Amino acid sequence: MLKVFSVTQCLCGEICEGVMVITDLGLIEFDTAYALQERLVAGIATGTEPESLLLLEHPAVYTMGSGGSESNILDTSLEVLRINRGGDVTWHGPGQLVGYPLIDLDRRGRDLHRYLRFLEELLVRITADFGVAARRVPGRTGVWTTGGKIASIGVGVRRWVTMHGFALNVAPDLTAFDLINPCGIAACPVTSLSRECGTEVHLAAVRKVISDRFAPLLTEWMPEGRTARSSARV
Amino acid sequence: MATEITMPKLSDTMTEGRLVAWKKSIGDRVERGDIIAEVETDKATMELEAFAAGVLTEIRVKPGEMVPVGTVIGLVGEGGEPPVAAAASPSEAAPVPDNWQPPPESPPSEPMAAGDVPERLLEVPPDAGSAPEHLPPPVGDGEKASPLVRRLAREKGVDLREVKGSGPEGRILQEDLEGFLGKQVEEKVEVERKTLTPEMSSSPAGGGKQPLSRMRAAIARTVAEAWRTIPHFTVTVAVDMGEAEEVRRELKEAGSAVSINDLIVKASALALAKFPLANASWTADGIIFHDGINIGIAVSLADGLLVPVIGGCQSLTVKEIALRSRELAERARSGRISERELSGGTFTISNLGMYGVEEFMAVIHPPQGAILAVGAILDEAVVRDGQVTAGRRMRVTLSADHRLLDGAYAAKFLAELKHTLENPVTMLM
Repeated sequence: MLKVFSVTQCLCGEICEGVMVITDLGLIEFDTAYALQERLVAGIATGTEPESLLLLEHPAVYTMGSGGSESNILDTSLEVLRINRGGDVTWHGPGQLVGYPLIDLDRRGRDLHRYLRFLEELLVRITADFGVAARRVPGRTGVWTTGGKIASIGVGVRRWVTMHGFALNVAPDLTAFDLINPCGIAACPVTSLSRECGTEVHLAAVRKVISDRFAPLLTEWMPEGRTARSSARV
Repeated sequence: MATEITMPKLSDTMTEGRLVAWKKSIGDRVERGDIIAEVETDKATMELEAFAAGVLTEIRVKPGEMVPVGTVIGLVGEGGEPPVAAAASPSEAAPVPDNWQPPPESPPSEPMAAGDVPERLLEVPPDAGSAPEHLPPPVGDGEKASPLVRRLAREKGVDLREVKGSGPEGRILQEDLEGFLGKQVEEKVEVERKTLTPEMSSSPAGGGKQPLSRMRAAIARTVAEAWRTIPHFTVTVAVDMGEAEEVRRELKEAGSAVSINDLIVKASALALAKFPLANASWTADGIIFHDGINIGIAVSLADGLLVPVIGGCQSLTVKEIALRSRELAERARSGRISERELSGGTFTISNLGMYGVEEFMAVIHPPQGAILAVGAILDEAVVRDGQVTAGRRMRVTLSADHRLLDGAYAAKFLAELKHTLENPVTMLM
C-alpha cells in the first residue's frame, strides 16, 4: 500500500492542479516501482492523477539507460536491466535514496535541460542541509563532491511527463560501483552522504528534507504555466 | 501525404539530440500516440510519439546518431504511398531533399540557430496531416507585423508571407524576421561551405555566434574541468636531438619509417616505467597507478583535436609504435576512429614541432596526471666541451598535476627522457 508522506496544497488552499503527492514506498523491487511509475505517468498525462514524488530504495540492481554502452559493465556476469531513461549504467541498492519525480513538464515550460538542472539544484541543497558541499560539473549531469559522485540522475519522459529521476547515495555499500564505470565514466570516484559527513546518515532524515524542499523548489524553478496540454500550441 | 518526424527540441538550450532507438520498423503500422522512437539529450530520454496515423515509410537517422534539432529523422506516410511523395508540398519553405541523408558523422558545426526550429513533437491539430508551418500563408488582410518590422522587411527585400510569426496570433516579431534572415544566410553559407576546403570551412562566416560543435563542446568540457580542478605546474628541458635524427635517418634507409614523435613516445614510455607517478591518476581516496602505459597522441583536426591512444606502450618496439601511431592518426583525421581507441590513455603527448613552435604548455587530459608538450627541433649554438658547435635542440615541457607529484620528480622524469633521447640506441635494444 502507498503511504502518503505529505501533500502540498497549492496557494488557493484547495486540492487542485497544484497538488504534489509525496509517497514513501520503502524498499521496493525495480519492476514493481516501474509498473507503478508507468501507471501514474499515464494518469498524469491525462490529468486524472496529480504529480508525484516517489521516494524508495531498491534491492541491489544494476540498470542501464537506453543509450548506454555495454563496455561500461566491467564484470560481464552482472545482470543489467536496460530501461527507458537517459544516462549510462548505474547501481541501485539499500542505503541509496531513490527519487522518482513524476512531473508534468507540459505545464511547467517543457524544458528538459532545466528540469535536469532543477534536480541537481535540489540535490545540492539537500546535501548542503547535511553540511556537505556538493556541486554540478557542467557536462556531467549529476551531483559531485570533492570525494566523487554523490548522486546520479537519469530521466525518462513520456508525453512530457517525467519518470525515473535521481539516486542519492546516503549510506550504501559503495563497492557495488566497482564493477561498472558509473554513468559511463571510467574510474569514476563515487561517494556517499555518510562518507562525506564522517558519520552514518539515516535515510529517514534525508527523506524528510527532500519532502520539505521538493515542491517549493520545483515551483521556484519550473512554475506552472498555462495548461498547454488541453490547448493547441502555435 | 506523409508526415515528417523531426528531432524535437526538448529544451531551450538543446541544439542537437541523439536518436537512441527506433521502436518501429519500416513498414510498421503506426497509430497516433504510439511510441516510435526514443531520443536523448543530456541525461534524459524522451519517447517520441506519432502524431499521425500511417505507416513508417522511411528512417533517416540511425540509432546512436546525433543530429541537430529539427532534422527530419523519419517519415510516416499512408500505407502503400511511395516515400518520394513525402516532401513534395509546394509551400514548404525549406524542403529537405528526398534523398537527404545525414552525413556519416553528424556534422559538428551545423549552423542551426536555436530559435528557428519548429517544435512539433506532439501538438498537431488532430485533422492536419502536416505541420502548421507547411500550410499556405493566409491571404487577405496580410501578415500581422509592426510598422518597424514591415520597414525592415522592405529594406531587406523579405516577403513577410514567408516569415513565420511567433507572436500572439502569429504576429511577426522583429526576432522572427532576424531569425528568417539568419536562416537565409546560413543556407547560403552552407552552399558555399561545400566549395571550400575543410580548413576554411572551420572558421565562422564573419562575425556572430556559431553554435558549438560536438567536438568543440567536448574539448571545452574537458579542458575547463582540467583547468579548474588540476593544479598544473610545468617543467621544461632542452634535448639535443642530433643523435635521434641520425638514428631516424638510419632506420629510414633500412626501410623503417619512424618519426621523431615515435621516438619521443618510446622514450616517454621508458621514462614513465621508471617514474610511475607521471603515469598515475589522482583521486581523493588515493593515487591510482596504471598497469599499462597508454600514451595518447594529440592529433589536430580542422575543427579541434582528437587524442587517439596507443595502448600498452611499455611492451611495444619503436617500429610497432610507429605503425600504430600512423594508423591511429590517419583514422582520427578521416573520422573513422572508435570511442575505444580514444579512451584509456594514461599519459599524453602533444607535438607542435611541425608548426615551428619553440616551446609551449599543454593542459592535462583528466583523469591523467601529466602531459608532454613537444616543440620543434631547432638549429642552436651549443657549447660542448668548451667549444661552440651547431646543435639540434628540442624543448619539451611537462605539465604535471601537483597533487600527484612535485617539481623534483618532474625534473627527474625529464632528465630520464632527455637521456634516452640523447642516447637513442637504448630505445632500439
